[in-house]
Amino acid sequence: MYSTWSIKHLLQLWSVVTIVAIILIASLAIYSNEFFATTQKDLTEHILPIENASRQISSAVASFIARQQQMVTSESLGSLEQLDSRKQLESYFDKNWQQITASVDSEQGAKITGSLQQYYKQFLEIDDQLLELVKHHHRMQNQMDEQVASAEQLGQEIQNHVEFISGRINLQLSRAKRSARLSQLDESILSQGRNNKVDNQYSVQKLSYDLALNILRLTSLAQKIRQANNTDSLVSISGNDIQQYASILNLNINQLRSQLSDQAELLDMTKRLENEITALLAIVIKDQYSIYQLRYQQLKNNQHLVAGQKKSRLVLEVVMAKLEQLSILVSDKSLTAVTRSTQVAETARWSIFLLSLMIIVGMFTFIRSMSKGINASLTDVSSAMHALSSKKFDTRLEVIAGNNEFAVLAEDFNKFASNNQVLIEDLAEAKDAIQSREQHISTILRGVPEAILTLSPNGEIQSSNPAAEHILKASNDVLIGLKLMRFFAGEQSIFTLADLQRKLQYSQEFEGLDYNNQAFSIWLSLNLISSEKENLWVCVISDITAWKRAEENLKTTSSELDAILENAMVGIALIKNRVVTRVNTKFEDIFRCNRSAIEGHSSRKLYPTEEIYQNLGDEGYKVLARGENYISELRLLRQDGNIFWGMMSGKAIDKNNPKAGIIWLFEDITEQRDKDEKLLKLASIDSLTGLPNRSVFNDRLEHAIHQSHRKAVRLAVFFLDLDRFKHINDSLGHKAGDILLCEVANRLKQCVREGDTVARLGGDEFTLILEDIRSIQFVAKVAEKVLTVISQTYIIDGTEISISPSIGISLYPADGQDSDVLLRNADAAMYHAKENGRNNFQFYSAEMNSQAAERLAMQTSLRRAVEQNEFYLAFQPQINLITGKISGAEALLRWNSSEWGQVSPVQFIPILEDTGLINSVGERVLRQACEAYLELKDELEADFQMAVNLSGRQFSGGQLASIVRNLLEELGMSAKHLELEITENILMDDTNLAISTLTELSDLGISLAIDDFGTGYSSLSYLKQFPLDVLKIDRSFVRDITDDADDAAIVDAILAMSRKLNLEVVAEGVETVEQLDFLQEHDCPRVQGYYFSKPLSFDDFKAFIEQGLGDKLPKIRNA
Amino acid sequence: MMNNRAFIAVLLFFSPILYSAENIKVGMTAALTGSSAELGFHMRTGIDSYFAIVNRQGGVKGRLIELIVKDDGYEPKRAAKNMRLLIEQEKVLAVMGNVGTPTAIVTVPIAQEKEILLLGAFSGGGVLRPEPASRYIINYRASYSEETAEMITGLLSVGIEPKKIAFFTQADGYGDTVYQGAVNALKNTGFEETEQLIHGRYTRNTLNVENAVADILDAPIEPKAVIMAAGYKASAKFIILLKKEIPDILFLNLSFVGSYALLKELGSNVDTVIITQVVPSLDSGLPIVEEYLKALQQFDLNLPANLVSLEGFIVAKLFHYGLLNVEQQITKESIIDGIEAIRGIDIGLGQGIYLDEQDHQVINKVWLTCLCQGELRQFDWNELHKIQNTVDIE
Repeated sequence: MYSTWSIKHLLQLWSVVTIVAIILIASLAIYSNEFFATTQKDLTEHILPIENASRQISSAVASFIARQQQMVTSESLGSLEQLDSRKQLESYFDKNWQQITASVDSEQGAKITGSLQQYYKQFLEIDDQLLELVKHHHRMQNQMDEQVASAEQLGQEIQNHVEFISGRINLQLSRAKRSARLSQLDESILSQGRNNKVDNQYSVQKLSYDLALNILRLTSLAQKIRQANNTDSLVSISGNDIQQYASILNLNINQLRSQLSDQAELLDMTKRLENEITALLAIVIKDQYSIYQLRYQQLKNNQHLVAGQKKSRLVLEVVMAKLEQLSILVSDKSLTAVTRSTQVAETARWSIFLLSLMIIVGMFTFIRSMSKGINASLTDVSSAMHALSSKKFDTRLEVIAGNNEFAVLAEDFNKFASNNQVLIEDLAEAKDAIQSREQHISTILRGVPEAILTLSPNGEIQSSNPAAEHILKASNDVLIGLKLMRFFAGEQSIFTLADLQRKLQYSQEFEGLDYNNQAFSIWLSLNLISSEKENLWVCVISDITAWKRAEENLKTTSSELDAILENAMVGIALIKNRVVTRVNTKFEDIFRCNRSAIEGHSSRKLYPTEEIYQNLGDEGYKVLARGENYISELRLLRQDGNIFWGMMSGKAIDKNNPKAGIIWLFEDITEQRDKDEKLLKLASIDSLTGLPNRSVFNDRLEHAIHQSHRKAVRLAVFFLDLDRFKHINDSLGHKAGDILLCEVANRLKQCVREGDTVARLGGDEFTLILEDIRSIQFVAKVAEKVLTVISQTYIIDGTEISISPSIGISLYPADGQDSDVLLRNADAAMYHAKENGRNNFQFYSAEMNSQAAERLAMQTSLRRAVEQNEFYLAFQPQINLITGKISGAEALLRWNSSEWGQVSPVQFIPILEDTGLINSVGERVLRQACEAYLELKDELEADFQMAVNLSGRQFSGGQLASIVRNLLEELGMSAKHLELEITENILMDDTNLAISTLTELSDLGISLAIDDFGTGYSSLSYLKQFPLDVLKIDRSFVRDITDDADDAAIVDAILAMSRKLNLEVVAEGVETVEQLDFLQEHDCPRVQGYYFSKPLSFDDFKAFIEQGLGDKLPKIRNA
Repeated sequence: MMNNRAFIAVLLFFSPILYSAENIKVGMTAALTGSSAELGFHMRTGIDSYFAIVNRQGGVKGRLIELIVKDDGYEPKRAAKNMRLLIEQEKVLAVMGNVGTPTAIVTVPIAQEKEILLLGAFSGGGVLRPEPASRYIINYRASYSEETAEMITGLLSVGIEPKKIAFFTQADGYGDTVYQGAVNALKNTGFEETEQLIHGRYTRNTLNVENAVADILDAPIEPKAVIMAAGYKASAKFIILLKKEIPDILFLNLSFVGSYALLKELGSNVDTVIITQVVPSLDSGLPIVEEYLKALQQFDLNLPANLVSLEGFIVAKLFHYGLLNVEQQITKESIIDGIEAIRGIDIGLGQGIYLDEQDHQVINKVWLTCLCQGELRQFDWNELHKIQNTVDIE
């Protein structure tokens, strides 16, 4: 029906219909919106404010409650002041209240607000009352606190006064007792006289103690009152306790006063006391403001407070209920308004929906009729276009007359088709011309020897000619897409075409790398071909390697040079840009390779690790770049995979241009290095045991100290010495000694942890360093282990050997901060261990140092003493119990030092022995003793023997016997008058030497005595192998002979045994007559001791001899 | 009536004080009333006289030092209250020159809780010398045990047997500290029967010394010397009472007694009381003494010189030196750092002072003085015979 209508007319009709529909929809929407706005306004203006205000009021009420709660529970007047101001709450309440009254219009609402207002006022009144009550409570609390404080102070004062009284009385009593004591009178007599008075005083004291106690009770009651919880308990306290104390106190004070009636001052004090007690009672209970009254009032007040609080809570509950009513009223109203507006909105929505539906249906009908008209014409145009595109350029449309839009379109299409036909014919001609030109150019490109590449602006190869394949060693397929820059050796830093262009300004020659990374030299040109579409680069590359090599050969080699190079005893290589370009025969030798395998390759192949390669590059090339010679010892890689130590020396061929290449000389120094290392090792290791020697030990100790300091940990140094090692060396030979030392070294290594150091300082001295020690116990454990392990038996050459170590230990940092001090202190501790009987270990202590220092000082004095002869002899007589005569004397060495005074032999003799001074001193003693004997000879018994002590040291030279013989001959003294005393130790230390020397002495006719018998370990039968004559029983046995049955038995046994062995016996240290009796009874032949005489100076001894034994003469049994 | 111009003139005159930076406030709680009032009074005088010099020179960093003193009557309860008042309300930056051991027992925990410096308290009690040192306590004076050790050593050196040494102490922290210190010193000399030592006590803030005198009179072995740890009034009364009974007994007192107060109290009654001191005596000629005497004269011509105010003076000087070491803002903490930074400085005592985080004890030296013939002088144990001879002659 519409097919003849033009599309324009159809559109116009459609628009009119749509506009009418839209106007209808809009008016509907405006109406419903208007209605909604009116309802909304009504809600916001009348209903919501009321709701809001009533919510605010509820929160205000809650604040009132909270505030009241804080008020009631407040702890002081101060904290009341800190409460929120009620005025603020009230004004807030009032503001919201006005809002409500202004908004409420219904009669019912007005009624509710009226009663609400009334209750609110009532609440405020109650709140005011409560505040007053609380304030009152706090005021009373403060008053009470003050009263309690003053009660306590008053109580203290009363206590002090009571103390004053009792003190006075006490003093009076003490004075009386003292004067009695002083005048030597019996206290009881005195008290009889003044009995009454003293009794009186005692009762005063008792009274004052009672008084003090009661006051104390009273003050503590005051506290109890203050804390009483209800009036009942308060009343019961006052009724029972207080009254009781009050009357007792009164009684106390009255009694006190009657007792003190004669002491005016104290009587005054009791009056004060009475006043004070009255005051105290007043404060506690009697006064109007007493603690009791205050607490009572306070408790009453509290009752009011509780009642008020209850009431106020009730009122508030009513207020809350009214508010609830109000809000229900308001919400009813708002509900109605909202319902009405919802209904209107619903109606409008439906109308709009219907109208929209109408528009959509109309639109659908319209589009359907229009598309029918357009489709037929469009099919014609589309098939014509299709024919045109399939190159049927003569296609034309049929033109239908009319003013329809499609008639115009057909005419235009026909015009376009005929134009196109002409244009395409022209293009075909032009294309033929271009093709023939392209053939020409490609023939040229294929023919040239240079590689010609076209490049995109980022350097990617887009096309290449066949020569490129040959020069770059890659097929065209591979080349396309590669970047030109990869064909330049890396060190030229060409990464972009721009880099290349820059370089081209200086030279057209480059170092190239072909596709297989083989180096070659190139000549290059680069040109830009710009077109509108894109920029294209054309690059021409010539391989000039052959030409370059010829040139270089000319420059760097001649046949003579070649010969030298090839026959040189060092490996030579020319390396250029870290690529080996040429090597000689020796080089091939050293690196075990053919030159063909290395030439042209990176020099990286010569080094075992990347690191070494890099280091050399960093360090060496820096030196070389300066044109200097570079020498280095480093590890190199033979091509068969072995690593060796080599010496490299390099120098640039052209000093001014190190890049032109470096000549490197290579030498294999592995053997030399091995030799050096062995030498170094020899110098640091003890060749016998393989342990570190002293210098290495020092290094390690210093290093360990450094470490420990840094880590703040401790370390221990052991100084170990083998006991009597010299003895083994002497008796078994040095070889055995060496084996023993090795074994000790091995055992020591087993005792310590991995990182610890065992070293030998020399001789039989070993040291250990224990690092990072956790505890002293750990160190002690290691030391114990060392002791056990070293002390186990060794079998050397089939002989069993036992040896023990002495160990001294010093700790870092406690015993020293540096290696010298630590070692010295460990050494000192080791000496201490030796002194303590060997085969033990000792920790260093500062005392050792002071002991050592004292010893050292004494040593110095002793040397002077020897020179200046500060020594003298004392003589202690020996008595023959059978004859009752003085049968001998022991000569004892004494030292009266100008510095130290009289020094005990126990102290100085070891030092004499250590220093070797004992030999000369010993000889002198021997001589003086003999001379003393000779001087007194005429007055002495015929069998008198002068006994002289010998030190072990005097045996060691083997000269002792001859010295004694010579001396006796010189002085003309008979050997039978000399007795030499030796200790058991001498016999133990070196048995062979001792036997031979003693035999010689005995042969001379000298009698030999064993001293201090019983203290060592030797048995009598052991002693029998020595030519001994006399046995001296140690004083320690004699001392307890009368008290200790064991000692008595031992002495008895010694006496019996010695008779059997035909030895004479001397008992030492006889001090009492009982001891003497015992010894006599058991047939002891000889005695010595203080009972008869102490050691005497020569003159005194002489006098003693002249005087005789006198009444100390023992009873002679067999005489 | 003052006219307007005069009023403005007065305002202008005071304006530097009125408008200068806030004062450096320092607190002190000590007895200004009661039987130990002299100690508090003189301690304050010493401190004030030193601060007067500093303030005359413009203070520290343009801020004047202000000492706020509260009276505690030598009662711990009041001392605690004062301490809180000073710290919370007065906002002092440090507390110094407090007097007494029983008070220190309560003030020390408060100082530590509130993290505020308690400097140079007039007490040698152990409570002020915890091990390790508390950051908030720095002491000037030697401890009581050092004072008693000095006494014991001296007494033994002149031949008095340990069992003939008696004690008279205040029945509180102070007395107990001293007694225990002396007992330990005696034990160290090998004396074991410390149970049998005679020990009389009296209540603090009273003069009830009679019981103690009686205890000594009752002793089975008559003592030759009494070591006293008591206030000056009680000490004086005790000395007078006991001297009447045992004329040749030797009295010793600790520095805490307040030597000049005791001298005043005793008058001409007694000839010999040996007093250990923690400051040099006024006749020692040390620079600090000269400086103090000059400062005191400038401060108030009428004030007598004595060792208590000398100690206050020294404590104030230490505080000032500490303030000078503070480079940044003066705060509770930086003051402590400043005082700890005093190293190797001689403030006139004839010896360098070294403090650090661990060492909060300025000196450990004890000087000996003697009340003889109405004056206080330096004393040495060798002079004892001389003094006793004169006593005998008289």
